[in-house]
Amino acid sequence: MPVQFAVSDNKQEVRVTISGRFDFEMHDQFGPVLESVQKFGNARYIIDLGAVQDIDSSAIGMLLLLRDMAGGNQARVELIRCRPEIKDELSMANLDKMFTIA
Amino acid sequence: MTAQQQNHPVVLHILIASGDRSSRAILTAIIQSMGITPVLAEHGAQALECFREAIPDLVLMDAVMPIMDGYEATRQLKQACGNAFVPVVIITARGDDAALRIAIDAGADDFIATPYSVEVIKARVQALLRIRDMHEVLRHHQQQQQRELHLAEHLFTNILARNTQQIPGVSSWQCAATQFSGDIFLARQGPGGIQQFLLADFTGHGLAAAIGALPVADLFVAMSEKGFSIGDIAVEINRKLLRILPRDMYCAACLLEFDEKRTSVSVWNGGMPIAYVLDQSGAIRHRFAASHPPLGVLDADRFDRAIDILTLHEEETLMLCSDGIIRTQDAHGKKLGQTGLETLLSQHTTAGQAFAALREITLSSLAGRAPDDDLSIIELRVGVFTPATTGLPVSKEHSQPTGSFDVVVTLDATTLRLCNPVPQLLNLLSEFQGAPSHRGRVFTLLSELFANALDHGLLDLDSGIKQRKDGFAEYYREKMLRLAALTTGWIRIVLEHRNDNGQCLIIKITDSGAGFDHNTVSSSLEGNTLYSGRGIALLRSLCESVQYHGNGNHVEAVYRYE
Repeated sequence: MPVQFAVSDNKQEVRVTISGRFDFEMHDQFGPVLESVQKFGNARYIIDLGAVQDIDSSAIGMLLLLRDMAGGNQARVELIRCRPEIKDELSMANLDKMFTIA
Repeated sequence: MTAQQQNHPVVLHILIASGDRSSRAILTAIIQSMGITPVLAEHGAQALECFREAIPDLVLMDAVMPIMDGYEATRQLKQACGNAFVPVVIITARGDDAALRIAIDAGADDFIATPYSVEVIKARVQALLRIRDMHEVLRHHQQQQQRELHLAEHLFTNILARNTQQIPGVSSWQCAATQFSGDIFLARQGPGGIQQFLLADFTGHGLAAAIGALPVADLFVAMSEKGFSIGDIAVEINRKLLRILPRDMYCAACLLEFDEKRTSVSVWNGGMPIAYVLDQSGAIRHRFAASHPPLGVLDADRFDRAIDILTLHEEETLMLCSDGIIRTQDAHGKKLGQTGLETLLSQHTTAGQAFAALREITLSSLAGRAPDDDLSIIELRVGVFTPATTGLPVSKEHSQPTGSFDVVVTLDATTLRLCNPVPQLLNLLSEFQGAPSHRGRVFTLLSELFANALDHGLLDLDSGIKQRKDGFAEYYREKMLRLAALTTGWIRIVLEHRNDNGQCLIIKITDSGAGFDHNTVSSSLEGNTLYSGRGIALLRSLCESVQYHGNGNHVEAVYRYE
């Protein structure tokens, strides 16, 4: 599955692992992640992009939506294992400051 | 029973073509037992005639017939069908694979070998009629969607085309991933001759992306024509997009503003790729990288309207593109990338070459494929796109006779920090006075007088800074710093419109500043044509009179509408 997510036992941490091409086509599969945000509210969200080859603006839009639903400026959304290309993409759009990027 | 029969009882029309009288009779009996009266043909040519008279819903066709056999009749019938789906069942005594192949190759949709049972014929006919119904529903939806798309495309193209001015020295190339582009490029000359551009790229592509383009285009054009700065425009577009777009959609945008003499450019870049300034040898002199997130992301409290400003030279060129250009993959999956783009720019030294080369390399990467994303390349040749003449043309026009009115506005320090009153005042004047060809001149007058009061009266800025290399940018930065720190002072603007002896506008501006010795300053600037001295000389050329009073912090200008 290109989008998988796991919730920690104490429900404080949601870990989402995405693989392949992260673009508009992933919209449907990203749906359950957004539903989980509604359920767990201000948990910490760790988005593992290590297996993502490519990211486009629709995908960044989904991450922004997740951030918004998880509390906007108070949200804790971390993008981890980002490849340099993905970091470039985020910084080109000047959206790198919206997330914690590792 | 088909869906069609259930919903709208229609008479089904089945054609039976057979050279054999008894098999025609048997097939007729079977079809009649289904409640349908068939049309009969005795050979292929006759079947085609029947087909032309009334297109059947289904055809049962004997393979062997006199004059024209079933295969040939099927071939011709299928050709004549066009988009419509008329199922043809071939009936043959040969039950082998080769016979099946011939039937299917001729275009038949099904194949029944004799001897057949009544139930087989009924079942096949029912199944094919069901497929035919689905086909019809699909075709109907498709046609409707096509019509709607055409209409949307028509509206979209017209709205955007109306908002695009053709300007010499400005080249643009755009290529959409689908029928609709989520990339938009708009150019508009504001009052007073400032030139503004917008290159925007919505999330995704296609109709969903394009829909957002319409309100953006509307706002940009309306505000640009009223004389709002790109900072103001960015704030408003952001506000509007936040309200109307779903939260996972946003709009990367680069707004540019050239002053009326084309000596400087202001840039607000939100999430677009780097906008390059190339010098006369084609080398990269400056990069305007995105300094803000795209529009429609940050709420109004966090939105930053700050712009970057750069002094320009006449021979320079600006190059902009959407991220589709940087991300376009060639046949080997290799992208151009930022480095590739800069290498390409550095290889071309003559104006216009880099633009053409970038377009060529993108087209050759695509090799005839449709792009995955919307593509845009924009080139602006600073010295070529026509600067507005200072003596803005005033055409003869019919303006409504007006009476007299006064507008009095006093702005305190807080208000001055937050907004520029000139566009609003200009609109107010236009509402009452309604002579559009004077807009540019009145805008210039108001802007200059207001800027003088603010810059020199309240902020105590030295125009001399502008004479230095890159002075304009430095002046602007200093102005923004001092404005942000402004806590005291005020500016009062009085506009008196009179219609006694022809229409005239008296503009009186007073500021709370220390003032200046207007006798020496204004006369020394009289003959000054340099950029910084433009102010007073320009005012005098536009007005019947310009007079400073008091200790220089009160100015009165008289403008005649003639």
